[in-house]
Amino acid sequence: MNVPHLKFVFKITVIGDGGVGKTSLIKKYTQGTFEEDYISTVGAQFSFYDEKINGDECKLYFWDIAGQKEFDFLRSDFYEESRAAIIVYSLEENDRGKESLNHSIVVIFLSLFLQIK
Amino acid sequence: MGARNMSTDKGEMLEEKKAIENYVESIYIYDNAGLCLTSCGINPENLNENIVSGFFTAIKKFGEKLIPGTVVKSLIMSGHKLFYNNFEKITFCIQCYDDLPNQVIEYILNRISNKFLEVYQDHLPIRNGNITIFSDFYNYLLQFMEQPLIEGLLEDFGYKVLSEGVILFDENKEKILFAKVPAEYSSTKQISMSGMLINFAKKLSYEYQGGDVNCILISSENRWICVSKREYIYIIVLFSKTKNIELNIIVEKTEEILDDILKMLKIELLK
Repeated sequence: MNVPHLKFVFKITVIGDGGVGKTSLIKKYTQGTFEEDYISTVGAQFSFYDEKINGDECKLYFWDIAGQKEFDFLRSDFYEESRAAIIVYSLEENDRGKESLNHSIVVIFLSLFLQIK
Repeated sequence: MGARNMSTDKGEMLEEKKAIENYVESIYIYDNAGLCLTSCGINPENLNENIVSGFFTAIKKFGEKLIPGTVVKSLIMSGHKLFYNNFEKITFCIQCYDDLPNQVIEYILNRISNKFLEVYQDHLPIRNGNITIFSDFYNYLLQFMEQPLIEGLLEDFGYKVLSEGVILFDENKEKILFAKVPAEYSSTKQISMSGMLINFAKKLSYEYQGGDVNCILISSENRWICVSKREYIYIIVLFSKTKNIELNIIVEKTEEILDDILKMLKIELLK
């Protein structure tokens, strides 16, 4: 029996402080490339990754959200209806890195909680 | 005037039908995550629809933060505009020429959104990421784009104002552009009389320094007859006296639809 193939799209939010490597990580995953120069993301960048799983098309839609403080006012609105979040923090700045991770986790859970409500 | 009798019971364009695709360039339907559920008319063709819906969603959220309590309704670019409506957390967006009247755009968006929600209401919100079910709507959008726009507008207008019949006439071409009336009411003789009436009323108006005549409303024993003219286009709308109708609304809505249609006919000439 022929099983009809399905099409899935999932929004994945990528967050973390500015300059920790969010854009580089996503670019490496989706395009296989790496840029040495640092260019900060303005607002948000969008990337895709397509995969076929058991014949079904699956598209991951990455929202790489700017980490600079200037975009704090906007960030949580971009999380809306995300299926997953990737929190990125730098190991080079140990204490600040953990603080940033904890902060990001809290923000994500709060946003998800508000969405469910 | 020509001697053709254009009587018809069904709404009929008696001119070459200008389809919605002559006015609307593309249609996008997406959810609050910025995920495009379906679309048509994307240009260039290799443009990823999710890029478009993602950016539009980001712009919308930015606008709401910039001026709290407001909603981004349209984006205007040289010669083109994008217009949005949101229903049940789904955004319906069309890209069209910027001189297409907003009321016409609202009509198009309402048609699309009503149909979409009628079909998919039970599947919303999308919880599992599965957008396969929406692919069928692409075929509906293609068919929708091929429908004549002015005809649809006038049918919608006639229905909303509870009219018995609507006739649209082009004086320059001496042709009936649309007629949805009982068979005996759309002869060229009747339309000629309407034209003469407007012209006579104009002369009377000028006698009283009233300026140009926009609309005439006739109260007869059995009917209200509304005749309006813009440049070379006439519209005649018939109402039964048995229905309770607000007269100022009749005049206002008749003039409104005529203004919109004239703008659309001018778009046709330019494109």
